[in-house]
Amino acid sequence: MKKEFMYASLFPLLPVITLTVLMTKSLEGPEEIIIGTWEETSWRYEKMNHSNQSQITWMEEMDDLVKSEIGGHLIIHQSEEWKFSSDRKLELKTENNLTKAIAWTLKGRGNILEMTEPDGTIESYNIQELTKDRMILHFNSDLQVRGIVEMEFRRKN
Amino acid sequence: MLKKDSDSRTLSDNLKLGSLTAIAAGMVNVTSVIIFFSFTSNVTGHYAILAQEISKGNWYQALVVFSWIALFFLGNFTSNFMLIMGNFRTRYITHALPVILEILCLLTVGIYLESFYQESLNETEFLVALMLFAMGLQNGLVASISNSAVKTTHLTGLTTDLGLLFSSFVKAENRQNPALVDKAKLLMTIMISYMAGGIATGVMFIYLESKVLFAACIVLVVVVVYDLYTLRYALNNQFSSLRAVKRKEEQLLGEIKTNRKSA
Repeated sequence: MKKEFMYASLFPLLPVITLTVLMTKSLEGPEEIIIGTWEETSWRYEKMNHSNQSQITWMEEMDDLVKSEIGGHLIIHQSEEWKFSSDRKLELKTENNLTKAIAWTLKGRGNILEMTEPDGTIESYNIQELTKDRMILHFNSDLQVRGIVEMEFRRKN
Repeated sequence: MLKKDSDSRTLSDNLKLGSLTAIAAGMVNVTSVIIFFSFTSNVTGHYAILAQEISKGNWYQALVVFSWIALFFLGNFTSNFMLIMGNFRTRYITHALPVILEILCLLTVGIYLESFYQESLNETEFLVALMLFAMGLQNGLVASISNSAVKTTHLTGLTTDLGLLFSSFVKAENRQNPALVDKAKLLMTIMISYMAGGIATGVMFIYLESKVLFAACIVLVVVVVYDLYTLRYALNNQFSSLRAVKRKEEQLLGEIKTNRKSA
């Protein structure tokens, strides 16, 4: 009986050890990496209406007109600089130095960036890549271009 | 539903257990997708994500997903461990314990979401892990006591079985095979129940938000209480028939006595 319980107690150790490693913060998670100021470098979209539909084609950078038409209804509309703070406040700054403060949270395993405006409007973006100096966000667009829009950011020092 | 072992279960037992637990699983999964953007009743996708995160070198995310899979595994492990090692007076208590533990896990998630949730990533990771553990408990229990006939937290195997079944129904002899027809009924019931639970949750979430998890708990309470009720009913029936036998015995004894006196 004792042996059986000893054998059984080994299995709960698996998730316990994993969760302990995560809790001790020995690995830097996305919630820590994202803190800081990010500068938008490009907007591209995955063209879905391409003749060769089996291939994902990332189009060249969008011009400002297409960009403003796609992003016009979004929270992040015309934002050039994103400043994430540890108190989950996100400051969006346009090139005219106009700022907008919203709340941010990460969901899933840290792969979803959710933004909430003070009026309760919520938008979600897929974090495709998040490293110390580069962040790539995806979102689905139904306006003008059908498909995924990719936004690339570089960390601003 | 819970009081019988795999060898004595009827289609009706499996239908009741399958439908109710599938409704609960559908509710839990849709709730977690809405709140946490993560599935909690199945782990196939998590395995794919784990592989993807490892290949990208995202060790933090890989560990998170690994702990989720481990928790689902642990739920299944705990459930069967309770069934094997459970030394309780009735099978019902042994079988009900994993469901009670599952209810407690979901209640904890529901209460935490309602009162303490700050939307931090650590909280999300922990709550998803707890929901996966709860679903593992449910999956392990129903699979174990139904001899793997019922699996309600994920539909991959079920869809495979349905595909095989319906293709076998091409032959008339299979369409008339009661065992195959019963299996199709059970699988279809589980699928529809899972979907119904998911759809109902999607609608209820608009009004109830995270309180919708308490509705899933109520469904699971029905699973536990139903057998308790039928057990009581059966015991009452047994007692009343025992009382009737005793009355008859006393009556017969009385008659014998009066016959002897008159003789």
